[in-house]
Amino acid sequence: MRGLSGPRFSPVFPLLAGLALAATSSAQAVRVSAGTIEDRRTTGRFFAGLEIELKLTGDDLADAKSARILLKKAVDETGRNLLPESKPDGEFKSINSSELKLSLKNPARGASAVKEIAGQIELFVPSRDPAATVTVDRVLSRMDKAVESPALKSQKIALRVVSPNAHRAAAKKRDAELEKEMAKHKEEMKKEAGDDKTAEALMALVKGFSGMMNEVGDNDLILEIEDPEKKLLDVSVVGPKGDTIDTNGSMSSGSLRILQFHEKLPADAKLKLLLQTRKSIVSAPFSLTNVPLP
Amino acid sequence: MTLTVLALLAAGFLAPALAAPAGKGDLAVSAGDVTDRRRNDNVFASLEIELRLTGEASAGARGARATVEKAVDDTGRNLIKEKSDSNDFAKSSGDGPPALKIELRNPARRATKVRELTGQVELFVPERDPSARARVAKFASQMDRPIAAPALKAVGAVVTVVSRNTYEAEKKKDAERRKKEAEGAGIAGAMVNAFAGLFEGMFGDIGENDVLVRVEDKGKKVFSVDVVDAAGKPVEGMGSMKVGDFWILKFTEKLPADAGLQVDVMTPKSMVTERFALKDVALP
Repeated sequence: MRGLSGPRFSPVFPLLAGLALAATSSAQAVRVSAGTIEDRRTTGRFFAGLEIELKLTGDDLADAKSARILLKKAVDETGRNLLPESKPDGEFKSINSSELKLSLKNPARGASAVKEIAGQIELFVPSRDPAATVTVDRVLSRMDKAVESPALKSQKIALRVVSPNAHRAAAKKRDAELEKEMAKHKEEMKKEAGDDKTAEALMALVKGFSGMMNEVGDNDLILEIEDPEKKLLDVSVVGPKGDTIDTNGSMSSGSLRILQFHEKLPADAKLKLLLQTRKSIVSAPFSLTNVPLP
Repeated sequence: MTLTVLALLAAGFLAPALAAPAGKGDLAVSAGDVTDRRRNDNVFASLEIELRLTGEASAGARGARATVEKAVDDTGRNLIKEKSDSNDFAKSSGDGPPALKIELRNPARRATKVRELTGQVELFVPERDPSARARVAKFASQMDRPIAAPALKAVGAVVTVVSRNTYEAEKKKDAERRKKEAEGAGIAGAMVNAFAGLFEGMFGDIGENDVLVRVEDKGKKVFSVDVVDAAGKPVEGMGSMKVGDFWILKFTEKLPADAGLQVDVMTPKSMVTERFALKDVALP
């Protein structure tokens, strides 16, 4: 386990540090340590792997909204490469949750420690770049219209606010299409599932999941977001003075995102979008060594 | 001829079959999937070994449980948990034998196998004993009266389908009893009582189609209580839950008026017991 130093002074990753400097700001005071470690080993087919929760501490975290880990190296003490076969999603995760964890391959049974884990940590600090925050004024007045915003356009993001009624009408149409599609594949599913009962249960499950996004309240804010480069990191609703209006929860599926509210939003409510920009990312290499295995 | 039979009896050849009529040779136990969940905070850390059951007895088994007597890895570490969880029967969910798993302590990191695992498996095979099943037709007409069935009497169990009024009255009585006990036990008692109330609130709610059954069964012989249709076919529900002596069988739809009740009890003849000894079970 080792604290992070600024890339310029890092003896471990001089080249990497240089690259990081060219693209982003550097984290001067973030330390990475290992939290809960789970080595799930099984002769079964599913859910085997090593998970290491990462704990971040340091001054740079004060304004950070989220973080992600870009892993470069992970080896156990027998020299086994623990990097996963498929590339991790690379999504930013909340810093103060247990979501920030590494998913690696199982180390050797006889290994007592992970010799080295190294990579890059990126913090999303929107306060470092005014362009990282985009607000859409009077969001309720923009129902069923595309939101025109040069800031969003420059990040290739298309945003549309959908009214609950328009959403319900579209959901009805989607439901009918789903029914039609399921009827078409019913026999196939029965064959696949083995028996009628299992097939019906599976179809009910699919319908149930699809139905979850169909039911919206009159106070909910429904957004259709196209974000091919995954630059949008957070969406919230704020009052005229910038104070956050708490949601009752949110769900998203595909390009659809629904923010739920108990009460009607004020007419002057604004939509606040946080975007990943070059200047809003604080980056630094990190390295953990000799992490004991349970 | 008679002499030969007597000689065999004396030698004990027939004795095991008489003691456990459905036992020996009917069941084989082997290791299935092995999962070693290792954590540095020890939360949910354990070694889980699936026991695969094969053989004639396993085919009709509706329940199974295992008792482990010895479990050591190849470094000599004892893998038996100090506090074992309740050893309930694993129930079969379909036509196949129940999925039986045993939970042990994590082996040493440097261990490569479980050197020895021995114990006993018990199977409940109701088809082996006609008196292991009690059936009552039209249970709705026998509300609040203990079911009169020789099978239940034989194992000393009293099973009663109860009305909502009886259930509510019993619940109230039970709450008062717990309150008194808690008052005597100070703060700790009050905490326990509060938590019990919370859980009861979460799980003790009953739907309008649910069936309430009181099962008084000190010997823990009642294996299952199911609702069946007039033809004796089980009516699929949404599962069941237990609150004290009460079993709540959950149903989303109204049951037919002629629905019956089927109670399976574990009688000596319906139980198959087999010892198992597994060696060198490879660790993942």
